[in-house]
Amino acid sequence: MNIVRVKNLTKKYKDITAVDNVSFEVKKGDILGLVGPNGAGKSTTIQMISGLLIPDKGVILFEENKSFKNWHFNLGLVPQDLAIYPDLSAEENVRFFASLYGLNGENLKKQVNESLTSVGLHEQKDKKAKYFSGGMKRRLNIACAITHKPKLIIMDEPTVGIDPQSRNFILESIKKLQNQGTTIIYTSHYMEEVEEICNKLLIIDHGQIILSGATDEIKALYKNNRILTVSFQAETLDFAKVRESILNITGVTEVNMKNQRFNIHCRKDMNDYDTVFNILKQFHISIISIEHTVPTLEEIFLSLTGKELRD
Amino acid sequence: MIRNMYTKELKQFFRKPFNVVFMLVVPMILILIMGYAMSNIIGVTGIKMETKSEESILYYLEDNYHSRYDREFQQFQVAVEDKLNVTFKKVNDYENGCEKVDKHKSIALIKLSNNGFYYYRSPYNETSLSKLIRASYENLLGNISISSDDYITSKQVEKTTIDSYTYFTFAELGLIIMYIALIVGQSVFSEKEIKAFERIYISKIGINKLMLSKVLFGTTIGAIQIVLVYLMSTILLDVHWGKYFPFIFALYLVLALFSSTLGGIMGLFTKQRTALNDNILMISIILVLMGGGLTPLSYLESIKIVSILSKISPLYWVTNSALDLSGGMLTNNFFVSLAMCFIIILSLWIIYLLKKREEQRKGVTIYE
Repeated sequence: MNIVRVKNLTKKYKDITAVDNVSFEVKKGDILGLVGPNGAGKSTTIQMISGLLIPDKGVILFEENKSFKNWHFNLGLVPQDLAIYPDLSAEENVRFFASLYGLNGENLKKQVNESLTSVGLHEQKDKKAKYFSGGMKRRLNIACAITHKPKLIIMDEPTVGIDPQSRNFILESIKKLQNQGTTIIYTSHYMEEVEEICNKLLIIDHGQIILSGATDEIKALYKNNRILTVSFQAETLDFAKVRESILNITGVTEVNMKNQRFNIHCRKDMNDYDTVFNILKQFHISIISIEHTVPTLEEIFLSLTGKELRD
Repeated sequence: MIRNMYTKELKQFFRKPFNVVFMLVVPMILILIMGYAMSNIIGVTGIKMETKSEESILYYLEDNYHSRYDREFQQFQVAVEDKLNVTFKKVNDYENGCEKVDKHKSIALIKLSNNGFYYYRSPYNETSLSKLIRASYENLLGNISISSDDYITSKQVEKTTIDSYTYFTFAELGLIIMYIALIVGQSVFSEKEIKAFERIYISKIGINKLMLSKVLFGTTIGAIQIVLVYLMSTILLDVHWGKYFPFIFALYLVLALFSSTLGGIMGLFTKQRTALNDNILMISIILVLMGGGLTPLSYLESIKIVSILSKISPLYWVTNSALDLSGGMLTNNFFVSLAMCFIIILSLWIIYLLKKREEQRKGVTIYE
């Protein structure tokens, strides 16, 4: 069953089309990774699904046929900004947000304890949120969204700016939620996170879907590709000409540069490395090291959009 | 659910010492300071005159008056002279007497005729003392058939002290209640800032109930302020709230409701915190100034234009009404105060609903 189905979703702000005729489905139990560079339309898309923005066109249906008005209390929202009250304790925060969904009495108490335990904050439940570290605040932010056991959780960059330990804890918590049957839409700038926990992927740029599908299938699509990473040193560099020359080699699909490294995307069967090296030599580029790898999702993203996931 | 939101608001409020000091302690200090500072201007013990110039009541005997109601008039004269410390002076020229009353050289002019009494007062700046005397007049001479001394005794106007402490107890109570708008406005704005609004919006409770809980919270703070001021003024300052004190409570509770609603709506629609603070403070200060919160009403009422403008402020009516009620008089000021506050509250909620609809039409359902 589809937990949410988005059809022909469009949203414009004056002359800018933030979301352009986007359609996708999220099945029950999926973790959908929604990735894209800044300004791609991710936030606008999830705000429309959360009911915080009204689309100009298109339809959003929950559980096949229900509108937001009849289904919104099954949603949990983990916003990018920390939506917690600093003067309340962890328990008070979680209790408050859970009570908004009608939970009360022993049931409320039980579910509050469960949520705090699942994010590893049960020991600090009486501590005020303002005294928490960044990672603990992020975990509390999640706990506030999951206590009422929503069917769909929207997480907008839930791990931004936190330590690796907290990040790992959060990712583990998300996997546990999935095991319990919760559906999650997850946006992030960290492709390694998306790769780790999301079984479905949606790449969006300029308001349009660039690529969508199961994460494993997408990786399999690119399994016949390789990336030749060349670390170099050069006094002067005309990257445009270098790129043009390398692209002329059969089997090379894309060339980009970052931090004194060329990333040369090529097919698996491309083996004309001598030509590559000769071109570099022609441009007086000294090679420091060479690496030959299967492209990661982030590199796939870069090749598709031409942009970094994180600016 | 509203109860949970309301409880959360109270917790957050009382956990900040600054809130408690600013909203509950500073007001008491303000009343003490203003009461003491203005004591020489507003008067001393006993029934106070608000201006030194109004010390007499004039009376005029119409031509051919045959002393028909002398006895009743003398009983009124004795009661008022004794209790309210004013003197009665006879005038021979009615028009001249009216002019003196208009210029506040006398409180009122009573014309005695064979048909009864006629009471003339200034149409512009009726002071509290003047209202007291008029109430006494209506009680004692309103029904000409009354002639019993016992009746006059039992109908004596309740003795009251309108000194500076009394005045500023009620005036400053209005002032501090207006600051509730700032507290509630900031509370609403904070919900937007930390994006809690988004969570609340998608929950079962929604934004309307959030706003109601904020208004309820602000009104509760107002109720606490009223109780504290009542205790302090009656115990320490010997201020007499009178038999109508439940009405005074109700009056200021409605004012607190008005202040909370104003703050809540402004907090919702203002985009920047500094603009919110500035706007709320400006509105509050103007309403307080025009309502006699910093300058005694008698001074405001003595300037014609200011006197007219003051009537736009709900605090003008509230302060006047509270003084009347403390003096044992349930006047129209009470009903005008309530009506004015409720009309403004209703208008603010209508603005809220219209603005919300406009935002929805633009495709936005939260308020950034």
